Amino acid sequence: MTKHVSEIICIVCPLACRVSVAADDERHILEVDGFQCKKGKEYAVAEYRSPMRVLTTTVIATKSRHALLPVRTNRVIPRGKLINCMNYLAKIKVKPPLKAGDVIVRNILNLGSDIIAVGTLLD
Amino acid sequence: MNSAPIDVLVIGSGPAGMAAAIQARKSGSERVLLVERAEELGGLLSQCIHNGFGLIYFSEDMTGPEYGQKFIEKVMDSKIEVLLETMVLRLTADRKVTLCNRNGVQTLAPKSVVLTMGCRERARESIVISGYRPAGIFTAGTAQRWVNIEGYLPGKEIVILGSGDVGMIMARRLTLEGARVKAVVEILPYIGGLIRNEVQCIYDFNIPVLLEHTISNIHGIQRVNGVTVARLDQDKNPIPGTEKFIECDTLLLSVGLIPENELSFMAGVDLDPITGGPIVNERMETNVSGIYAAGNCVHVNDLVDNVTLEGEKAGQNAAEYASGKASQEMRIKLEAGENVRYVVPQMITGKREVTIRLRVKEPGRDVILRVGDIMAKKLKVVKPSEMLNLIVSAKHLKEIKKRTDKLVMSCQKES
Ligand SMILES: Cc1cc2nc3c(=O)[nH]c(=O)nc-3n(C[C@H](O)[C@H](O)[C@H](O)COP(=O)(O)OP(=O)(O)OC[C@H]3O[C@@H](n4cnc5c(N)ncnc54)[C@H](O)[C@@H]3O)c2cc1C
Ligand code: SF4
Repeated sequence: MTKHVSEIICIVCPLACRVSVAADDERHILEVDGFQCKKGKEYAVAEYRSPMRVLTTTVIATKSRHALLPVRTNRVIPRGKLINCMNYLAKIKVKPPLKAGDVIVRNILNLGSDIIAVGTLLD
Repeated sequence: MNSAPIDVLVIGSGPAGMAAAIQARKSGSERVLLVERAEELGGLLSQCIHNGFGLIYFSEDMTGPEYGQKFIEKVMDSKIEVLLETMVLRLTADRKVTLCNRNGVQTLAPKSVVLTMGCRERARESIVISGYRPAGIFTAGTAQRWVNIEGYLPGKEIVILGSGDVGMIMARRLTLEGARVKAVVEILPYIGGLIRNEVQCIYDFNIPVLLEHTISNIHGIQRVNGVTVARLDQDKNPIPGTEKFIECDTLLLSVGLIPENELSFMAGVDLDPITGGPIVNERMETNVSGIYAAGNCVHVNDLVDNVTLEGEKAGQNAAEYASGKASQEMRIKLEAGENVRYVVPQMITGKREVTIRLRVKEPGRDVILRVGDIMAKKLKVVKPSEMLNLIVSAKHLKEIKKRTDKLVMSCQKES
């Protein structure tokens, strides 16, 4: 068995500790080191297992004075799926009226997150 | 318009201006006028579509437009008079404000004024790079507007000069939109923005970062076709022989922000040469009586939450001034000492609790932040990119000796 060490920068507070996560070939975590508090350890483990992110972007608006509507995921999604969502959203067009919180795409790519408007779209 | 005199006139409707106007109304001002040159309220927030706003003020992670919307609604609900597409052209020391819009030019005489004009970006002209003047050179903020509001991509192969937050946010944004960010070039030996952005904008997308590098030449006549980057020596001069050509069609400059203060200057407001903004006291009052200032117009903030808090303070005190309350004597100067780049406010009474905001010059670990000899606080890390907030309580201020007229702020290694 080989031991793989990944370094994860904790972003929970400005200290930015460098936390190393050691794991085996199956990615089972063997040890975690370098954090200075519990939150940091939890963050590093979660980040190692599956980094999750909020996606913020825009979709094309038609029949509106605005060219675009800013949107985001209402829950975090796997980092590896950001680009897939971007490709999906490139094809979406929206019409007014829309306001912050309105759902634009429900359960995008079955990731368990909706795409919601964060701005107002007027005609 | 109403003919009663205006109590508080706020110039600029970004987060600072909206907070000032709302707070002025809450503090009892009858007529509050918010003047904005753009078509909408909100200042820069509408183009900052990423999240990370409101973590302090609302304990919630919001995007710029969402954060802005909360205040736009409050402005609408609080009987604030709003003038959009209206530019303030002139301000005098006796608070005559000249406005210009489609209806023409008019001069108003409010009882007090709040300056919340924000900041603008340094452009290529304010840094020196040799080469032609081809198309394809943008400030990062202009590119942000294009991509997030207008719906244009400034280019396909991009080099970004400057690793501040706006630069990093744009590196991610352009990558997500299908452009290739070929390098983020940073003069300093470390990345200039928040750690969150370093991880989620740069490392997440494997964007190459060249630290201690600069762009020594821009190539292309009609359109940018590449840049030359070079490593810097300790004196920040390019080291001969380290030049490298990077092919690209677009160069984004994210090389700093300058508080916008032509109006302040006209009115005789004293400016701090380091922050580039008005010298203010703990009430966010400038040296010109009845003129207050807040937000990026005073100093460049990295978190919008602090901008809102400053705006509220300015609005409240401007309202009190308008109602006839006299200003107080500020006798103690807060001076930037060892490893402190600047301190805001620059003047205090020494009588009531004050929140001091400051930036360090150099990053450090295990340092002690001192306020003269009255307070010392241990800090594990300090960075120029992360503004420090320090609350100095009335109890601490009691320690100030009678004749002291200045407190030197320093931030040094524990000895
Ligand atoms: C390009 C850019 C991008 C940024 N991105 C981020 C980010 O991603 N995240 C973040 O936390 N912070 C960001 N910031 C910082 C951000 O500016 C602040 O958090 C906040 O918006 C500052 O608020 P403000 O009210 O001081 O200024 P602003 O939001 O800049 O508002 C100033 C307002 O004053 C108006 N104005 C100026 N002069 C006049 C005049 N003479 N007459 C009438 N109106 C006038 C302007 O039109 C503007 O609406 C960015 C700053 C810049 C410059
Ligand atoms: S591990 Fe704890 S102390 Fe270190 S950066 Fe993370 S949250 Fe901060």
